[in-house]
Amino acid sequence: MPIQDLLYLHASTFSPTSQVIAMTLMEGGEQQPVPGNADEWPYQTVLEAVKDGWRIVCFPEMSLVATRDEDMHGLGHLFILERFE
Amino acid sequence: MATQPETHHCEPTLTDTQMLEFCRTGYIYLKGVVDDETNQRTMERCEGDEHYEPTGILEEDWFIENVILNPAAAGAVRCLLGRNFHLPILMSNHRTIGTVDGLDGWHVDGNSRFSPEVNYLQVFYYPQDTPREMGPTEVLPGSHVIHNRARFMSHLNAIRGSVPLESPAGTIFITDYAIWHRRGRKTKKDVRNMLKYCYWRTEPPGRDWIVESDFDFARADYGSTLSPHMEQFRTHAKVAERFLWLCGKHEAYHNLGGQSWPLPGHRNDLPYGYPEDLPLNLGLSSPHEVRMQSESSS
Repeated sequence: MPIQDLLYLHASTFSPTSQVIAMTLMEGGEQQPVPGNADEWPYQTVLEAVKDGWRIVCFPEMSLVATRDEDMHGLGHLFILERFE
Repeated sequence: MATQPETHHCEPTLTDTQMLEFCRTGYIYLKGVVDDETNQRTMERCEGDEHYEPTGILEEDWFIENVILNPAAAGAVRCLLGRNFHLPILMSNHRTIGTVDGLDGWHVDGNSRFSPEVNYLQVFYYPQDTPREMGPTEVLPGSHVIHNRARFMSHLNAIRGSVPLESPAGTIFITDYAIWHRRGRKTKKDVRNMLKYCYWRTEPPGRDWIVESDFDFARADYGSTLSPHMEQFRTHAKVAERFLWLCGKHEAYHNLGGQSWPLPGHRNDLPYGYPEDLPLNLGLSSPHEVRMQSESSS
């Protein structure tokens, strides 16, 4: 039974081509280290991860833009991706 | 055991520029400001009291004098919280034994009250050298103006722009309580002690720190390092509002939209919407004039 790998990518906009600003990787049932230097991350955009075989299973939550106009909530726009290897 | 004072007043040590920098980043880093003897006594005290809240250390005169009222730290707190700020009443030791994977742990401390007001500060003191392998606190500069809750951050690992505050012994850093932070990855097994405590404001805010005669409210950079990742110019507005609140000018703060103050810009005059209650620095050239002069001389 393959284990589901998970990739949390916070992109700076709703677009999967925008820059990734936070990353969490879970492979083989365990959280994996991600380089502290963002330039060394395996993916700089969500689309790069998609091209590498990851499937988007959760798109950013639209309700986050429906808050008070001047407020800022959370960090970017969260895409969750999966892959079975 | 001496009775310790509850409040303190001292001379301010921060300038306008440094105050604005605090508003932009959410922290002030005071490298190695505590003397070696005090660091050593603190380490010995931590070895003798392994409780996660060794509050008894606040009854030690040497600790109060050299850490809590450390001139550099207290001077900065004085600027941020005003005269007669309230001293800590509880001490936490984020004592770490063994290694830490540092894969998660981002949070905002509990009971953070999100607001442009700066009424309390969270302060970290490292009594020992804390290089990267000892898991220094990692902060996300500029995150203090972004709403979040610790339980919505629990999945986060690497964040672009985060900074591990590697520190020599005696370093104190002062943070806005709402800053996002975590214990960093620790690869050495040695014990790490890190003391954390709070100060509170008791008097209304005012611009009674070190005023710079050439500080220019109109053209200051109110952006933060997180600005590129947020809705454009939202952080400028948040930082400017916080700075004006600290100046005791919160009622003067407004944002008239579009290209108005406090946005940056290559303008031909004072920014539209520049608050009337703020000082004017009329001797300075506008960004447009500076650019024209530069182009004509080249």
